[in-house]
Amino acid sequence: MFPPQFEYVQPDSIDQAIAALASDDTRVLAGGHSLLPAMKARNASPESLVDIGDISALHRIDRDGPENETVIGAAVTDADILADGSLKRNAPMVHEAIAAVGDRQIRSRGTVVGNLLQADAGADIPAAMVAADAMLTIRNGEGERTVPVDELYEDPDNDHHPAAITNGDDLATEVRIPDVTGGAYLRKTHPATGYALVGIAVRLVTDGGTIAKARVVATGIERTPRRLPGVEERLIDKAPSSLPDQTVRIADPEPAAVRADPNVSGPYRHQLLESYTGQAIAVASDRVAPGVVRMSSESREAAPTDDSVEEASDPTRVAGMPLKRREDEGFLRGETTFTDDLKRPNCAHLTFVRSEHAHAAIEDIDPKDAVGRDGVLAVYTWNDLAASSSPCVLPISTGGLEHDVPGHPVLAQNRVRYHGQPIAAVVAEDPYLARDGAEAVEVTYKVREPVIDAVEALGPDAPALYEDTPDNVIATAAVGDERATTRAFEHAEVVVDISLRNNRLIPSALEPRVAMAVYDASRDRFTVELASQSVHGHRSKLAKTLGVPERSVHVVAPAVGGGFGHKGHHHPGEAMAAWSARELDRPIKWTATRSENYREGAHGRDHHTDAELALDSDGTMRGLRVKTIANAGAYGLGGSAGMATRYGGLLSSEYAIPAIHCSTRAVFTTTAPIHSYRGAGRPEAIYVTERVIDVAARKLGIDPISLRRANLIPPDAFPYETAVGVTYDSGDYAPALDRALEAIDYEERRELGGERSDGRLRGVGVACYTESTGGGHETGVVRVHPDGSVAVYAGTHSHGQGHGTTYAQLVADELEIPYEDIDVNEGDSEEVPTGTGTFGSRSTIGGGNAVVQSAQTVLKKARTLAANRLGVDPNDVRYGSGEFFAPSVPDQRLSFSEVAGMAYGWGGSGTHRAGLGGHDVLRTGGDGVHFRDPRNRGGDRSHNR
Amino acid sequence: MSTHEITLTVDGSERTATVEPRTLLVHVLREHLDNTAPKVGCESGKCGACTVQLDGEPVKSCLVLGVQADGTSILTAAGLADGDLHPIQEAFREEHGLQCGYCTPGLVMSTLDLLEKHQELSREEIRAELKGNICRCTGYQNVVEAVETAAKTLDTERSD
Repeated sequence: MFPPQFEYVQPDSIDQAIAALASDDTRVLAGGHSLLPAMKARNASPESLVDIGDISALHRIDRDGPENETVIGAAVTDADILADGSLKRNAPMVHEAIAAVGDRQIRSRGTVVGNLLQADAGADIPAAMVAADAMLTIRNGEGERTVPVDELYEDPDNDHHPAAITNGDDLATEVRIPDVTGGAYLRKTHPATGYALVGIAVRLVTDGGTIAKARVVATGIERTPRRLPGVEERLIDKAPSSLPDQTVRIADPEPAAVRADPNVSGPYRHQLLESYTGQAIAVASDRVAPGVVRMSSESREAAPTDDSVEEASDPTRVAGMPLKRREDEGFLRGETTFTDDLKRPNCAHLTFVRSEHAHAAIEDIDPKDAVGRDGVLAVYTWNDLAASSSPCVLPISTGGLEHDVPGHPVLAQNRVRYHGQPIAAVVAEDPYLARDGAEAVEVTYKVREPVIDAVEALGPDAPALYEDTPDNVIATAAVGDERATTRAFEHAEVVVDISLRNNRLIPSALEPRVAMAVYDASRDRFTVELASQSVHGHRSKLAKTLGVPERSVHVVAPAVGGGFGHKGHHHPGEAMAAWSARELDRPIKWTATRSENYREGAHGRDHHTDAELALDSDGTMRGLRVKTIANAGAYGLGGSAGMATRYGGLLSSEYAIPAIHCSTRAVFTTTAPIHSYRGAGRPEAIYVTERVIDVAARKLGIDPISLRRANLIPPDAFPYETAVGVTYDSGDYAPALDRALEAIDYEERRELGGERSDGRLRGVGVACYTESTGGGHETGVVRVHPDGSVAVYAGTHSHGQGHGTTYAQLVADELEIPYEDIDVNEGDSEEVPTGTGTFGSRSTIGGGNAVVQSAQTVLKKARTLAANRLGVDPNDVRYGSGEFFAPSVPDQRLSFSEVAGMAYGWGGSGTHRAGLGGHDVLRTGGDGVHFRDPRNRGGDRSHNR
Repeated sequence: MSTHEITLTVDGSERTATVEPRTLLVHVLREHLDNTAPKVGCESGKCGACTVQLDGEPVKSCLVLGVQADGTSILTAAGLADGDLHPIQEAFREEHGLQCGYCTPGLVMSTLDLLEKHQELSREEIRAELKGNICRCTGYQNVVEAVETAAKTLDTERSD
């Protein structure tokens, strides 16, 4: 997200600014907090900007005039006026509206007048200014005029605001705000956008104890602020004390006329309008007649006190101690290196031209305007990739599917199947120039019909994404015993069903995906540094995409700024960076923008599920039948195509359900590919089971907790094989449920449930969860240096989990040496032979056990060395508190570091066997590879098509 | 397009850079001046990972042009403490107010401004005042704990 090029002028005076504005296509730059984002999004590209920030006359905050008013200059920021306090004393309604703007940082730069002029939908300041009858002063080359603020918004359909700025050289210089004591501004904030879903400014003027004048102005409900004359009229002649805090019925506008947007429907926004108008009137009334009415604020429930049971910990063990993380200091100082922080000499920058359509044939790609631009080094399309030695199709691992799933081409092969799919790659000297180049590439599309919804994609008339997959079905799979489940339903006393939509999610690590690729021609070898959850996974996949052996790809992941699944997958960016690095023989960096991260995926979930539960009338569960249609997006990505088909393995959760059958169809749609996101299949399954149990509880009239409790797998049933073929080794669920209920004061909350006086509903719900994790092998290496200090390596990679601390704790306990003597290294494909990575809550189980096992191997080998020195049998050597000793040689003890030195041939007096190369003894990489039992990954299943 | 030579004081050192008008302050710092403490999370003013202080005020450096910052003084998380961690940084560490660490330099800088201007804050106020900084890992609970702890430390230091 970079602004386009423009000229920049910074005048010293208002006159100079007006003169500069007279040029064509010039915009005023004040705070720039609306203009710069608009320019980055290419919603505005003025040729020049006139920065008014240096004009001292525009920084004035003045109360010296003859009128009782506050004058605020056009360069005054929200933070300036809030700190000044003039409005807090003289126009609290306006002060409150300014305090509601954005956030601290935005208020540092955003200007009051700029906000008034920009008037985004849901902006706060315009509504309060209209209610206050504020006046705006505008100057141009011909003179000065003053307009009431409400005239700025006379044409609500005009998206080019403000309507009153008519001349090219008009400069709004200041706003004059009359003193308004009897007013208030309240808003309901959208938690993500920060804008008001609804904001209400109410101003009341009393005369002789009754209201003589009222202004009620709403923001958010229409494109621009809107007065509510019906409400205003009803307030006239009323005593403020007669205006309680209650919902105010508003007939104009009607709910249907209120603006709907993707965040909120019109009727809901109207309901907010009525509620907030009542509250704002109450506060304003209180200010004109203090003490009569109080704004009813919902008494907040006291936060539950944290009296969770402290687990007794073993004071002699480092694991479990609440240590400060050793990783944190670098992060806190901003010194830890993330991939985007890397610099390489002669580095060029890569960006993509992405599809503007969800589904289209590409008729032509014309790069000529890009190729000729300054700084642009190359523009690549699929034809360039196809002519190279590399396949350039991201590999698929289908996990047992019996057919070929089309892989994702790094650049589109004459067809795009989702909005945002990479079509061309542009490499330039810097990222700004790369973006300029990408914008100059012209793509001609022939648009085809898109299909976004997986159920619709199964319809007879749905467009097919691939000619050889006319039904759009990638894979079907079934888990469980269909006949047993059918029987359970045939004999069921009660059957309930539910249709669920588990919506699509976008993984949003704060660090976008990023890669830096270097190619060494002398060794035909790539080094790719990238934000990765799995360096070995990326090594394998990059090697396939590039068509080179894995030994030719070295993958390094520096610090990773969050993963949530999507940094475990292979995407076009890192492949294109590596390919271009070889092509241009230069380091290539690629950094996704936030919106590229959103558009390209991989996204998570997106299931449509129909579930039925068969029960006895006493609530005993007999069978669960589930049919799921899973959206796979436009391409298979890694193991994504098979993932959805395996999710049924957790449907039994912690319940003894004798028969379960789950059938799944994974379906292509013209959307970004779907892959694992936070939990990857487990939350999807738990959601189904828990929701259908709630439906059953309602139908049977059984308390939902009691129904769950009655069906828990009893503690004496373990090991327990579920009806979907997964064996649980142990469990005792009832006490866990009891503790959860106690922790949330379930009984008390349940009694508070129901409808409240203000019409809002309150309820309490509980969901149980069984986790399946720890799959796949993992590598842990413990290397002891000659001085006894220890380096631990693992195939996992922390992206916030703190393995550097955790693994050191585990190894400290095994080796009984100081925690400080242990260093942990991850994220380099050459430090350990292989690894699986960090995802699905697996690292401490897999990597943790692997490093512990390696530490045990180290100890075993060290014991042999100590035995040689002590002249005893290895079985007689004891180890404790960092020392080796033998009862038969009471006066001799060997420290851990002495033995480490001996392993390298140091300090030896011929007692160690010459054949023991020290390094080999203690370097236990192979010994530390920890293989996990994969039998439970998905249960007994079959795949067919 | 024209270029401009700008001079900034960054973490106490005077620095110059030649930039286009469109070059964002965050890129001036990261690319031209090698100060990668401010991070780029969204480039659209939403996430706050690029927060720095500009003449004592917290700003999202992806929404400020380098040319607008000419002549100003910038403080980043890298310049907050020379030796020991700043009490705010120490409090984040103590309370485990960070996980992946990507949002952390920005959060620390917003907290600095918050605690410079306010001495007593409720937990709700802390959450509201830090809403310009997004953290995807912590769920904010420990961030709030860290700010409360830092406020207490700074209060004690002030009264000492």
